[in-house]
Amino acid sequence: MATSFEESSHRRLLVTRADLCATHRLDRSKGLLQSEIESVKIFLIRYLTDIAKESSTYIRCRVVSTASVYFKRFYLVKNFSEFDPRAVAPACLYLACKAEECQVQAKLIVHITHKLYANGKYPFIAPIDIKQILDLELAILEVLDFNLIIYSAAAEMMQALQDAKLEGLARTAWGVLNDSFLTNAWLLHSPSAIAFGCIVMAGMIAQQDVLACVQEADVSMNEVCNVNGELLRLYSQELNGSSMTDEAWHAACHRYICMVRGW
Amino acid sequence: MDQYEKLEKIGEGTYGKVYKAREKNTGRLVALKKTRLEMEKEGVPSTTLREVSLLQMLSTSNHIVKLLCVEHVQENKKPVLYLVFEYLSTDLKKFMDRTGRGPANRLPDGLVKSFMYQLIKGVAHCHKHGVMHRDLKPQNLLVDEDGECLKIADLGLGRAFSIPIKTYTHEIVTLWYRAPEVLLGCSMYSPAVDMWSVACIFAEIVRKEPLLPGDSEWQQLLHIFKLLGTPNEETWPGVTKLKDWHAFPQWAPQDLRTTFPHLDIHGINLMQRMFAYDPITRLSAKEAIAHPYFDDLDKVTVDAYDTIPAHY
Repeated sequence: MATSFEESSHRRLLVTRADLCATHRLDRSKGLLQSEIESVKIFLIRYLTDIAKESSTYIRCRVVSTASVYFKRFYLVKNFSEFDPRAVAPACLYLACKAEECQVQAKLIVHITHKLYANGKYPFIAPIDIKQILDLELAILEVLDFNLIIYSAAAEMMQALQDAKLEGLARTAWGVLNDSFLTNAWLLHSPSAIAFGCIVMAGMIAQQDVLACVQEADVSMNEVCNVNGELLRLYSQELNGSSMTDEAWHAACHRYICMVRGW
Repeated sequence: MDQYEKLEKIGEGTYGKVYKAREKNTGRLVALKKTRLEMEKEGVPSTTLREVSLLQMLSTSNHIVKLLCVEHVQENKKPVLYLVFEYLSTDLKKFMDRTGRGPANRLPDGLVKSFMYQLIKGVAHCHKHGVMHRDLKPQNLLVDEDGECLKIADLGLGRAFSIPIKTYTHEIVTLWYRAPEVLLGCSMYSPAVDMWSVACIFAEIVRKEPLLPGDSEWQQLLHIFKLLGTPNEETWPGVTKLKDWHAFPQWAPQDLRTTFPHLDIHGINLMQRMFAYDPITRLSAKEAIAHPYFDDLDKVTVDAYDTIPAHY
C-alpha cells in the first residue's frame, strides 16, 4: 500500500504548510483569525462525526475519516464566506459514504441534522435539506476534482504495533488516529507518516518507548515528528479550551461563522 | 459541451448513453459517457463517482483507458455529467467477432501475446494501486482500429481494496469470467478474482470462443470443474468450508494442452497458474508479467503503444 501511495492522487494532493497559510484569504479579510478558522473546522468535523454516530449502523468510522479529509481539502480552496461550513460538513459525509461504498440516502443525513438541531445538541446549526446536500456534492466534487480515494493509515499502524509487540498500545493509538482527522496532518503528510506519528503520540500518552518501532520503519523521521507536532497542537488547544463548556464552545464557533457569513 | 461535436451513439449503459464525438478545435476523437444526475434523490450515481475517482488515480497507465476530463452541464434544465474519454474504435469482443469466431479463425500468436501482456500490465497497475476491477471481460477491454493497443475500461465496479471491512456485494462479475471462490460464496475476495478473469479471457483470445459459458452459477461451477477437475481439500485447502460448497460430481482435470493445441508450453503454464483454484497460490498480475511466455515479446514496442500522448 505504501508503494502505491507514492504515485497516487492522494500523494499529488498533499500541500505544504506555506500553502495552508495562504487559505481562507476572504475570511481573514473579514476579520477571522487563523485560530478561529481552525476551531470552526474542528467543531464541524465533530459535527459530522456526531451525524455518523447517530446513524451508527450505516456509517463506518472510515467514512468519517474520509469525509473529514474532503472537508479540509474543500477549504484549502474555498472560504467559509462562500460556502457555509455547516452545510458542507454533512455534504462531505454524504459524498464519503458513496465513495466508500456504503451509500446512505440523502434524506437520512437530512433527518439527522434535524434531530441534532431539535434535541439541542447543535442549537446553532440549522438543519440541511436534500437540495443543499446535492448541490454541495457537485461543488465539492468540482473542488476535489473527483480525487476521492483516501488511503488509510489504520492497517499500517496496527501492523507496525503488532510487529513491534506493542499490541497493548492499539487502543490508545486508534484513538489518536481518530483525533488526527481533526488536525491538518492529512493535508500535509503521507498515511505512513501519520500511522507512525500516532504511534509516537500513543507512546507518549502511555509512557512507553516506541522509538525502535519507528526507527525500523521506512518513513521520514522528520515527517513523523511533524505529525506528532500537529497532534500536540490539537491536544494543547483542547487543554486550553477545557475550561469552556460545550455550549460556550459551540456558541463561540457560531460567532466566528456569523462573523463571515452574517447573522 | 460546445467544444465537442457528437458523431454517433456507440453504446448505452445503465446510467446513460455513450457517444463518439470530435473535439472541434483539435479534431481529436473522444468518447462521451453521459450520466444523468438524479437531483431530486441521490445526486451523482455512486458507480460514476467510483469510476471517476479510480480513473483519476489509474489513468497514468497506457493500458487503462484515459479519462480526459469531466464536464458538468445543464441539458433541458437538468444537470448532466459527461465523462470525456480517449476514443478507441472497438472492444475486444467485437474485435474477435469481426475477425471470426471459433478455433478456425485464430489470431496471430504475436497478437495474442501482445494483448495478454497489455491486459496483465493494466491489471497489475490497478492492483498496485489497491484497486480490483471485479468485472473484467472482453466487452470491457477497448482495442484500437488496427488492433494493436488494448486498454482496460469500465471501472464502475472497481473497488479500492485497502481495507476489507465489509463483505463485498456478490453478483458483480459476469458469470463466464467469475472466479470459483466468488461462485462458492466466499465473501472476502481478493485481487486474485481479476486474475481468474484474465485466464478466461486468455483462453477466449486463443480459442476465439468463450471457454466457460455457464448460464447459471451452478452451471458455471460445473463448467470449471469439468475442465480443471473438481477441487478438494488437497488441491484447494478450505474449499469445503465455503458457504456454497456442495457435494459436486467428481471430475479429473483435463490436459490443457489438448484444449489449446496451438498454445506453446509457456502459454499453457501461464494459463494453468492463473487458473489455480486456491486464490492464495493463483499467479498475481505482477508475477504474470515476468512469466517466460512473454520473453519473446517485443516489450519496448508494446509498452510504447498509446493512442494519445500521455499528457494531453
